[in-house]
Amino acid sequence: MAKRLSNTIRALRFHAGEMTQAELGERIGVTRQTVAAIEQGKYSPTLETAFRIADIFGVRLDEAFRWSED
Amino acid sequence: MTFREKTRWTALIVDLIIWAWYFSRVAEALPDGPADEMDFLWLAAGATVATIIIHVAAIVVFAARRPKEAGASPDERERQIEREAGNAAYTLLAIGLVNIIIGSYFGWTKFETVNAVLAVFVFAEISRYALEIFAYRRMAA
Repeated sequence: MAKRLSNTIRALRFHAGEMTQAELGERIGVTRQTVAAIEQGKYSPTLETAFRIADIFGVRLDEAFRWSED
Repeated sequence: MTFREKTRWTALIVDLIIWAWYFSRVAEALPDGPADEMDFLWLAAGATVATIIIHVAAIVVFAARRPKEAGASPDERERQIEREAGNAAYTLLAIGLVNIIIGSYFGWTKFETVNAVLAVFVFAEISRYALEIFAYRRMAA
């Protein structure tokens, strides 16, 4: 079975005081639409952006993103 | 919908309308050619100016509603979309121009050649907008 990139960003945002997609986008330098696309698995962020996201939530990269089978 | 996607929609619609009108006039003038080719030079110039004016006006209107977004540089996803669409459009442009070069060796008139070049440029540009919009829509929530 093919592997794909998934993430827990939506949950991380909720636990970070219900941060909005726009607020997260503002902090990592992307649009709200890009954050939405990342959350839904429709766009894979660059490594730098992935690290920025993990850093904002204070988690490891592999806690924010997973490379696994569906 | 982001500011950039809105500008692409506007550009696509405006280009389709204006250049469809222009090339319908070209088609009417074929195969005998126009009475005065300079008329079509002015038509093409007018179509180009009209396209630019409407594009700029749309950008100003959209920017007035979302000034912060309009002033921001494209983010990584937008840059990827623009890059991939641009590469595909460039390929279409190159194929079209090669065909025109071949056609010109087989007796195309100056009027036909010039308008074929213009058509290829317009087609490549419209394709670029369409591909960007397709990518934006595919990634939309």
